[in-house]
This record gives sequence, C-alpha cells and structure tokens, in this order.
Amino acid sequence: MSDLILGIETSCDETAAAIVEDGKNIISNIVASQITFHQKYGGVVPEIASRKHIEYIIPVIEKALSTPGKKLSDLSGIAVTYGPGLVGSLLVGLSVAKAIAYTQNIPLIGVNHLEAHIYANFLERKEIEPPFICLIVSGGHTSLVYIKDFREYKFLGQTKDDAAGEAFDKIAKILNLGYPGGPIIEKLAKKGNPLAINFPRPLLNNKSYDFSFSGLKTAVIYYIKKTKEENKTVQVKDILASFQQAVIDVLVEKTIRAALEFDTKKIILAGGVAANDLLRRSIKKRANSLKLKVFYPSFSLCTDNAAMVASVGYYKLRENKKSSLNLDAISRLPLVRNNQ
Amino acid sequence: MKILGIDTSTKICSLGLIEEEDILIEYTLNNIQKKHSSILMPAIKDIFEKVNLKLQNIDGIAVSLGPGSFTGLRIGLGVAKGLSYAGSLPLLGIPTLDALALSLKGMPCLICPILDAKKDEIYNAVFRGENNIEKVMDYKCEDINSLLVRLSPLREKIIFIGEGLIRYQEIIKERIGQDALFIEPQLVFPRGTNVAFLGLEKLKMGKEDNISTLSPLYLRKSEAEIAWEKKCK
Ligand SMILES: [Zn+2]
Repeated sequence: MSDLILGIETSCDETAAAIVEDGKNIISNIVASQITFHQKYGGVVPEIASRKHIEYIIPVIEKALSTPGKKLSDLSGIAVTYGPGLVGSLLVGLSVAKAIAYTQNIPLIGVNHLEAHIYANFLERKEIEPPFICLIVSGGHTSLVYIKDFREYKFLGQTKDDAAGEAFDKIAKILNLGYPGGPIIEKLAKKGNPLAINFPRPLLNNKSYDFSFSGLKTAVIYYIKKTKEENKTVQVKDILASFQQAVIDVLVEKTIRAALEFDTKKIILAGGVAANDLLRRSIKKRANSLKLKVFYPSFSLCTDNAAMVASVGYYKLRENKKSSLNLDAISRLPLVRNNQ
Repeated sequence: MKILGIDTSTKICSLGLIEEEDILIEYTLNNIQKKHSSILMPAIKDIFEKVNLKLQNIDGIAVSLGPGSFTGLRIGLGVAKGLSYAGSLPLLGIPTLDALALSLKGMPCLICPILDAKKDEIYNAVFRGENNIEKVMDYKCEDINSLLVRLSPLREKIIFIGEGLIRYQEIIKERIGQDALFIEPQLVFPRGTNVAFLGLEKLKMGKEDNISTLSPLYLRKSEAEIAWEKKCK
C-alpha cells in the first residue's frame, strides 16, 4: 500500500494543495496565484492575501483531489504549513487542514515552510543524499542551512533585513516595472552591463553566514535619484544588471564558502529566486571549478507549492511526528532539527 | 435535525450543538489571548465526545460570518468549511449581529447590537424582534455619532446589546436617554448556540451556502485598499 498525503500551503500569496505518493511521486499539484490582486500595491498585502485564501482554499483542494480521481478516504495524512509566513494567511490553511484531518480521522502533520522548500529538490531528484549546503532564497527568505543528514539541520545564517527577492520587488516598484520584480528585472538585466555600476556587496567579507540586502537596495534607489537630479542618461538595464550582479555575488560567495567550510560536495538551491538563471549559472561555474555539484528544482517547484509540503509530511509521518489539533501558526518559525 | 454552531467573531470562542429547539451542549471560552486557532478544533472534538456523537451524526455546520475580528472570522469559517467539505454537510453562514439579536427575541422594541470595530468605529445593525428577528437597518461600520444620528429621530425604545457597550454605553445614554435600554455585555454575547438556531432555520428553508465562495462579512476594506483609494482620488 502506498501512502498518499494531502499537502496544504497558504503561507504567503499562493493558495496551494497537492497530493504526493510516498513522499516523492506527485499525483497532483495545484497552485492558485493571487498576483493580480497584489500587483498594484507592488507587494503582497497580508489582509488581501488572507481574504483570497479563504475563497480559494476549498476549490484548490477539490481540484487537487479530483485531478487524479482520489478520494479523501484514500489519504494517510494531511500536511500543512504552519510557519514561517504571514499569520493570517497560514491560519486559513491550518484551520481547514485541522477540520479535514479530524473529520477523516487521519493524522495532521505541521510542516515548516523552509524545510518544504528544501524537500522540493527531492521530488525530482531522488538520488540527492546529504550532506549538503542549501541556499533558500525567495521573496520571503534568504537562508543558508547545512544538512548533515535528514535528521540534523544546522541553521547557518539568514538575512538581517530584506530577503533577496524582496529587494528585487522593491526596486521594481521604485522604477514602476511591475510585480513580482524578480523575473522582470532578470529579463531587463540580460541586456545590461553588470559592471556598469559598482554597487556594494553587503556582508560579503563578513565571516558570518548572514545576509543584508536593505543597504544595497537603498544604494540603488539613491543612485537612481541622483542620476535623475543630475540629468545624467543612465540605462535602466545597466542599473538592474549591476544590482542583480551584486545580489548574486553575495549569494554565490557565501554558499560556496559554507560548502567548503562544512566539506560537503553538494549544494542545493531552493525558493523562488532559485529560478534566476544567472544565479544558477554563476553558482554552477564556481562550484565546477571546486568539484562541487549544484542541484535545483524545476521552476514550478522553486516557487511556493504544496507538493513540497506533502513530501515533508510523508517523512515526518514515518517518524511518527504528528501534530495535535491545537497547532498554531508561527510567523517566525525557525528551521532547526536535532538528531534525536 | 442537529446543527453545530461556531462563533469566533470576537475574543469569545463559543460553540453550540443543538437538536431542533434543544441545546445539547454549549461551550464558551473568554479567550483573552485570541488564540482561537489553538482552541477551536480541540473544543469541537471535545463537545462531540461529551455528547457521544460524531460529526457524521449531524445535519449541518453553521458559522458566524461577522462582522468582527477578521482573523477570528477566518479561523471559524476555515474550520467550518473543512468540516462541511470533509463531512459532506451543508454549510450555513450566519451574520454575527443576527445571532446576537436572537438573544432578545420576543422583545416589543428595537434591538441594536453593537461590537467594537476598533479605530473609533462600531459594527451595528437594527432589528425588530417581536415575532422573528427582522433586520430594519442594515449592517454598518461607522462611528457612534453616525449611528446615533440615524437612531435619534426614531423616538422608539431601543435595547442595546454587545461588547461595544463597554466603551459606548455612556455616550448613548447622554444622547438618546430615555429611549435607550442596556443589557450588560457579559450577559449577551455572540453564542455558537444562537448561530446554530439561525442555521437550522436557514437549512429548513433550503438556503445552504456555497462552500467555495462563502466569505466573511467584513464591512471594512483592508488598510491597503483604503490608502489606495485615497491616493487615487
Ligand atoms: Zn516560500
């Protein structure tokens, strides 16, 4: 008998549900994006996100179950993201998940969203075995984690202010380029000169594995303002290419350094920014020269989805790590796992 | 017929399980820390165990739709949708102020429930309740002055109920003095049982809600939308 897990994910602005078999075979993977509702605000508005989740959640779950013709009674458990993320958004998925688990009398498994991003890699590449260094980078997070084995994670560092993807969004907003900023900037930057402007590389030479992108963002905004005031003609594509290069330099450098310090041969990327082509190419180039291997999920599994949540849920269920019905949402849930 | 009623519109978490005109069990927690998310589902499990029933034994889920705390409403509605979906049970959305007014059914005067909406505003509506609860002034989110301007020309006895009285009772008394009657807020509060009774009525009229589209009755836009509209004016 195979184990079917229903995954539910509502931590930010995607309402998602998926069914995954035995932690690795995706049976269905449904994501309802709310981008159009947040676009005009240049970023995710938490209250609007929560309002959309309560409208989308049941149709999305129904679709995840109907696609493969599975029934609720076929499920072995329900995995749901309970943090980190926007509390109001998390609570919608969590409330629905609890009620379904109770009604069906099956286990509820609370899942850490960051852990789920890491597991997105194993859905497609079953052969990836720890130890490895994982860079989780998106509009909501920028974190480095050392995964010694599946039972022990060491959290190495994270952003002290803006997430990398957030800096992309904010600069896109200043320049009226649209939302989300990542893919738009990536496209425009392709035609620009990444060496045109020497923007700061925050914390590049700092020994810690923490990141900081707020200062870089401010430097870019200041540069745009100054060139306007001085009536200088500077190509926007050059500014964007130079900004993107600065972000990627820091991400690549810190990730490679962590891989060397912890003596791992593998690096995995996770999260929405892991879809950035320049990041992928840059980190691969550095890694190849050091005989390190780099893995990353396909685009649809980089961004928020529920298949990755269901996958974590399966492995936690096998370890008998179930949650009780009083599970609460935690906006700043840390990623830690100890060998117990 | 048996109905479960859920109300998490204020800081009170209240559940009621009814069978026709009888209350089978009622649960109320004055949930100061607003931890509805950790309390609601275990409480539902608990009351079903106490009366030795299963979700499969009941006929519908009624839930308080607001107005009230946005997050509280979504926790209640999320749980109600999950139960209704997984248990294949009718879902019945009930406005919170109707459920509050039901407490005074039979009174030969106007009934005005008020809930504190923060930001110096109140959620309110006006009902007549002699035979059935019948709404005579629609749900509103406004400041107390705007409500009193609408009420003072009526020159009729009005009973005020709800936690909004904690802050506004004195102002109401000053402005419409002899026409105003008050019931202490701790005696009449949003009760899951009242939600269940109105849910049963609704179910008998064949008016069950659509589980996908049913949304809370917010009565107020998000801050971002309000700011956006101001900017565009
Ligand atoms: Zn994410």
